[in-house]
Amino acid sequence: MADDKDVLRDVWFGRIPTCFTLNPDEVTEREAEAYYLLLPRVSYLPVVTDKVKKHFLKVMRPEDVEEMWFEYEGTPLKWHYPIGVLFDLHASNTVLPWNITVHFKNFPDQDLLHCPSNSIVEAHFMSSIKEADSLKHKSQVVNDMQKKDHKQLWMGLQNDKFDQFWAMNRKLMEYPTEDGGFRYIPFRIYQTLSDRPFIQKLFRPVSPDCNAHTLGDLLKEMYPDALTNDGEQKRYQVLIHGIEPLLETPLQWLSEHLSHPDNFLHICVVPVPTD
Amino acid sequence: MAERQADCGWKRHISDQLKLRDRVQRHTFEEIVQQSLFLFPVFLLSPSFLVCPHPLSLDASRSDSLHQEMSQMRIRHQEELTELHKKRGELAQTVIELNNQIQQKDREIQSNEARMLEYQQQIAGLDGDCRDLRSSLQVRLHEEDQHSKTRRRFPHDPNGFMQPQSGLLDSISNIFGRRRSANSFGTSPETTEPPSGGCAEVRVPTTALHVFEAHDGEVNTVRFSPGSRLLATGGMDRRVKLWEVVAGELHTVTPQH
Repeated sequence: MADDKDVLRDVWFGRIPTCFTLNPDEVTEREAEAYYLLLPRVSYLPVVTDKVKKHFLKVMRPEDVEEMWFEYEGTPLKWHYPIGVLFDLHASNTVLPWNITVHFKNFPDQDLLHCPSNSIVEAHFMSSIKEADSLKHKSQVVNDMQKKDHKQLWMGLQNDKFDQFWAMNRKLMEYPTEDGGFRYIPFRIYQTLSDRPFIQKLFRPVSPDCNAHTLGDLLKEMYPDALTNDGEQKRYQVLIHGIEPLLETPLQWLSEHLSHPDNFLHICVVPVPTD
Repeated sequence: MAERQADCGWKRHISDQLKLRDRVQRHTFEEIVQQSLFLFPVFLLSPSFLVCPHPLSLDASRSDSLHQEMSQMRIRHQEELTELHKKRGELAQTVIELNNQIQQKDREIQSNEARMLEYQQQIAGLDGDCRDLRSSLQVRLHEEDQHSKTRRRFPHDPNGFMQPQSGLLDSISNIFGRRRSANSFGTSPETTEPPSGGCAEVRVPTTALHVFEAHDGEVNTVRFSPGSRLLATGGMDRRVKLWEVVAGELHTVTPQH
């Protein structure tokens, strides 16, 4: 349907207005101005922040510059999460623009992975795709692809090319009709206050009696606290790409249309804002 | 039917939610972010950042993305263009500077050549002067020689009053004047040329070929005969003697009286 294509485009071109400020503790030659940028939700921080780095390097001496890392209100931002996930998880109901602090020293080795170059991000991205496909198709589709097809997926993401990316990605979204869906749905549920980084388990899109599973079914299985029982006040928001889909949305459709480019359905469960 | 409506329900919900999200999170900030980036020099080159916010419609996102791509391409091209312009300017500048240097070197070469010419002329002039001086020096030396010879010829003529009778001695003494002397007695056949109007080259005799006792006393005069074979001498002993010049030796000929 035409709407489906629109949804795909809206998901791909989602943007978050961000304001990058330099950590006041950094040693600078003169005062650094804040840098505003519209970050793509579906991409990763190291891929889209070259201009930010250049902007702040202008006011710093080269000997003070180590690996750049970002932090929001004291929490170091993990670069291997998609940007949209980071925003939904940490700052979904705050005033826009999203204020990120840029650091150039004291890299927190306990909390963050090092990312010396874009090829590391590419490797992580490709491994996510392969993991997702192993859940969906027992890795058959991704293994049938050639090296250049893999490259096309990454280049499409890196250069913000919707058509280039989806030319390859649609192959990963196909399934044999008799199955009714993928083998398992690749998803990750993120929670704000938890020791576990995320919840990821095996979950079929279609029940044994051929009923399509919905988002509600998934949450009931994986994170029942997120659901609001009748009569209770809503405690949690379930966010995918910054919106709250209805709980009756079919999971298979969600996986096909609201997945991130790494083919995972990233779900953020955040507390409802109290004010 | 119900299913399709339900279908549409959650799908439309999602679609609406996405649009709402974009309105809140993207469109309201797009213009501001673009204008803030406009303050940085790189983006001054790209006119696309002066674009107004997109109209809110279903096609907004699609034209958005196209517009984005186009503006990004335009930025890149503008940057390349300015870089090339800058390079061109720098190269033109270097060309001008090199031309100036060439002209300067040419001028230096010309002035050096002019100086060389000058020096050569000076050298030629100095050479000429040198030659002139040398020749005049030689002339002077000859004259000195001659003068010292005439002095020797008249040893007993302390006051220099004796006037020579023959034209030869006349001209010699006229040229060099009189001088006191007390030199050798001898005379010598001399290879002085006979004067003819203007004296060509005169040399003063310097060597005594023959020395002999001619008279008992002083010798007052000495004369060669016109044929140069006989020599007459007169002295204080009131005698005149004639000598014959034979092969460089002198023999007495005249009787004494």
